[in-house]
Amino acid sequence: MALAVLISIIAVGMLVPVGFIVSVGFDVGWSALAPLIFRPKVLELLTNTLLLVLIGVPICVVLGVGGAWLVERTTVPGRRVWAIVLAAPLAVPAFVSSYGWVSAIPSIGGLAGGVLIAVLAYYPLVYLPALATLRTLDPALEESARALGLSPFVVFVRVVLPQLWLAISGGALIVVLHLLAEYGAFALIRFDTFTTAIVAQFQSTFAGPAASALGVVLTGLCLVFLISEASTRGHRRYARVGSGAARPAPRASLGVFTVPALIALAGLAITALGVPGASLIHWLSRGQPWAQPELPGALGQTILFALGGAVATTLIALPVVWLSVRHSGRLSRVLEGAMYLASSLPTIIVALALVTVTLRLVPALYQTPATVIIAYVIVFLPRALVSMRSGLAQVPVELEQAAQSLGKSPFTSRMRVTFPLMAPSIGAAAALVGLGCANELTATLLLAPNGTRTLATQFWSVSSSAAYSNAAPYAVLLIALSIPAVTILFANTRKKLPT
Amino acid sequence: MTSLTLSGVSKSLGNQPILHNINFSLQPGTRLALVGASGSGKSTLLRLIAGFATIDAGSISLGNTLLSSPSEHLPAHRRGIGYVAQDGALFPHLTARQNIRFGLPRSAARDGRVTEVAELAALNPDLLDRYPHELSGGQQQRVSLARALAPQPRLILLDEPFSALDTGLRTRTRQAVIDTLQLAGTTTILVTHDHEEALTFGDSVGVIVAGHLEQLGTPSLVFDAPDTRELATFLGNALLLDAQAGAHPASVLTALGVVPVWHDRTAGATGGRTLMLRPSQLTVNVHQDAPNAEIVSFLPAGQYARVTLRLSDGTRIVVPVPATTAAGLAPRDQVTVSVLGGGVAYPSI
Repeated sequence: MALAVLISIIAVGMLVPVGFIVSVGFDVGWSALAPLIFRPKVLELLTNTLLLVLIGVPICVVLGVGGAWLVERTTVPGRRVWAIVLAAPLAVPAFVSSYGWVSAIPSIGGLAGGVLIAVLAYYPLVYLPALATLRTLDPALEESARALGLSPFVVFVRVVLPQLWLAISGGALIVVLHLLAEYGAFALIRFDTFTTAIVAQFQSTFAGPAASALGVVLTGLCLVFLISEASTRGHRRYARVGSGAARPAPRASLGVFTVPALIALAGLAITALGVPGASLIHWLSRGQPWAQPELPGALGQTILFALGGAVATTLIALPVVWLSVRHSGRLSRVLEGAMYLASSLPTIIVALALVTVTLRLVPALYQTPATVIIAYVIVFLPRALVSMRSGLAQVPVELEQAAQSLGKSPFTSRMRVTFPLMAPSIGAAAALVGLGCANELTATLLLAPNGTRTLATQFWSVSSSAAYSNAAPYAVLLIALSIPAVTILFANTRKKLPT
Repeated sequence: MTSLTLSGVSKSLGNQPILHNINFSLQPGTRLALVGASGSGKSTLLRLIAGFATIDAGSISLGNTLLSSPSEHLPAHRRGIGYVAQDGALFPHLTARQNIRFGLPRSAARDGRVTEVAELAALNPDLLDRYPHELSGGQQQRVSLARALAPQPRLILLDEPFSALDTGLRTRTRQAVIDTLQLAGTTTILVTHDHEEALTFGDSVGVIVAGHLEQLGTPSLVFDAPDTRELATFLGNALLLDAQAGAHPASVLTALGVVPVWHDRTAGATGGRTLMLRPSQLTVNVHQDAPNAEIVSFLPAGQYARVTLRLSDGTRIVVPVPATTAAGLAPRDQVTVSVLGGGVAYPSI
C-alpha cells in the first residue's frame, strides 16, 4: 500500500508537463489560443513536421528491417561486422550528424535535408528491435509454412513480417517521438519544425503564449501518433506458443544479389558514419581545437549532470519496477502508463512545463541543477524502467522465498539475493540514462543555471556560430560517451535464444 | 523433534476457495507425500506451512509454536522450516558451496557443516565450487536439498522437486533424496502430482482433491483401499466391475465370479455394488476348462502386453499380461481370468 502511494506521488510528479499543457489551454483560453494556432506559420510547421514523419519513418522502417534481415537471415559476407556497423549511428547524436553534413555541404537544408539527417540518425531505432525479434523467432513456424508450399518470399511476407510487427511499430513510434522532439539537428540545417519554432519563440518571448500554443499543437500531434500506434497493435498474439525450436533459423543465400546488398550496406555506412566521421577528422585537423579552455569544465559538468540524472532516475525507477513486477495489477499498469505518457512528450514541452511550474510555484528551483535532473528523470525514466523491469522479472520470487526459508529476513533476502542478481540491469539502466543525459540538449539549454556548460550545450553554442573546428572535440567526446550505451543496447539484441 | 499440526486450515484467493478445512498431524522424523492434480491446492498448502502466505481459518503449529492463525503469522524466516522449490531455486550468482552456506550463521564450524550435508546428499566435493548452471538437474536438486538441510530445520517442504527431471534421473534423484532424509531423520512433506512418486516416497500419503484432503494413510492403505471410486482411479489403473451381493457377506458376485471384499466402502448403502480391483491382481490363463473372457486385442508394451478382454457381461477390461504369456494369445481366444486377493466395494452410481 505504501509502495502504491509512493508511486502515485511519482506518477503525479511525472504528469506535470501534461498538466502544464492542459492548464495552458484553460489559462490562455480558446479565443486567445485560436489565432495563435490557426495561422500560416503553424500550418507551415505542421506540414514540415508531418512530411518529415510521413517520409522519414517509412524509410527508417525499410532500412531498419532490411538491414536486420540482411545480417540475421542471409549469408551476406561480413555480416557480424555489418551488424555492428548498422547499429553504430546510434552513438552519433543527431545534432552531431547534422553538424557533419552541414559543415561538409553548407547548402544542405529543407525537407530533403531534414529527412536525410533524420533517417541516418534514427533508422537504428527500428533496426535493433527488428534484429532482436528476428533472432528469437521460432524457425519451426517458417519451416511449417514452407512445408505448406509457400515460397521463401511469401513466407517472409506472411509469416516473418507479421511477427516483426510489434518491433516495427514500436521502433517507428520511437522514431516519430524523436523526430517531434529533435531540436539541434534541424536547427543546424535551418529546417523549421514545431520544436525548433518553440525554442525560437521561447528565446525571443520567453514562456509567452505563442510558444505555449505551439506546444499544445505539438502535444496533440504526439498524442495522435501514440494513439495510432496503440490502436494498430490490436488483440493479435505475437508471442511464441510453447518454447519453440531452440535453434537459429536457416540463412538465405543471396546469390547474384550479394554485390548489390554489399553496395547498399556500404552506402548506408558511408552516409551515416563516413560523412560525419570525415567532417570531424577534417575539422579536428584545423587549428588547435583541443586547446579550448572550456573543454575540461564542460566534460566535468556533463559527467556530474549525467551521474545525477542516472542516480535519480534509477532510484525512482526501482519502486515503480517493483510494483509493476511483484504486484502487477490494474493500478500498476495505470501508474506506469502515466509515466510513459509523460516521457513520450517532446523534451521541449517538459522543459517549458518545468520553467512555468518552477517560476510560479517554486521559484527557488528555477534554473537550478535540481530542475535539470527532474527533467532528465521525466524524459529518461522509461529507459530505466525497461531495463530494470526485465532484470527484476528474471529474479523469481522463489529465490527470495528460499532465502527466507533459510532464516533471512525479507530485507536481507533482497539485499543478498534480489539486488545482486538485478545489479547488471540496474547498471545498464544507469548507463543508458546517464548517457542520454550527457547528450541531452533542449532541456539543458532551457533549464540549466546560467554559466552551465555541458558538452552538448557547448557544442551547440560553438557550432551554431559556425565555429566548426571548435565544435569538433565536443562532438568526439559526445560520441565517445555514447558508445557504452549503444554497446549495451546492441548486446541486448544478441542474447541467447530462449531454451 | 517436534510434530506438525494443521487444524481446520482454510484459504481463499479472492472469492475462490483454494483449501478447505485441512486437518492432519505429522509425527517427528516421518515423511508425508501429498498428491493431487494441478490446481488442487497442494502447493498452496505447502506455502501456508512455509509462511509465504497467510491462512484465513484454522491454525498451523510446529511443536508448541503457533506458526499461523488468522490473527498470528510467524514470518517465514523465523519458522525454521526448510523449503525446496520445484526447480531448486538455487541462487545463480553463488556457487553450490555458497548456496549451502547461505543459511548458516557465521562461525568456524560453518564450512564443516557444508561438507557434512554435502556428504549426506551424496554430492561430490568437486561439484561444490561450481555455479548452478554448471550442474545437472539432479545435482542442482541435491544442492538445494543440502542447502535446506544445512541449518537443521525442524521440517522440510519439497514442492514437486523432481518434476523437471527426466524419468531415469527422477527415479535416481528421488531415491537419493529419500536416503538423505532418512539419514538426517528430518520430518518432511513432499507435494507431487505423480501418484507413483507419492506412493514410493512417504511413510504416509495424503490425497488432495479440489482443496479437500480426501484421504490420509499409509501408502498401501491409500492405494489398496481408496475411500472413493474417484480416488481409486486417481491413484492408478483401476478395474471397476458391476457386482451383486454374494452368498457370503464378505464377497460379491462379478463377471469374474465370486470375489472377496477386503474393504467395504458402501457404508450400508443399499442397491448395487461396484468392485474395484487393481489390474496387477488379475492373471490370464489359456487352455482352461471354464473360460470367462474373450481376447479383443493386445498391444505389446515391452515386458508386458496390454491385453483388452471382453467379460461375459460385455464389460471390457485391460490387463497387463507378461510378454511370454501374451505371445501365445490371439484375438477371439477364450481365456480364464483369475483374481488374486480381494477388492474394494463401492456403491454403484
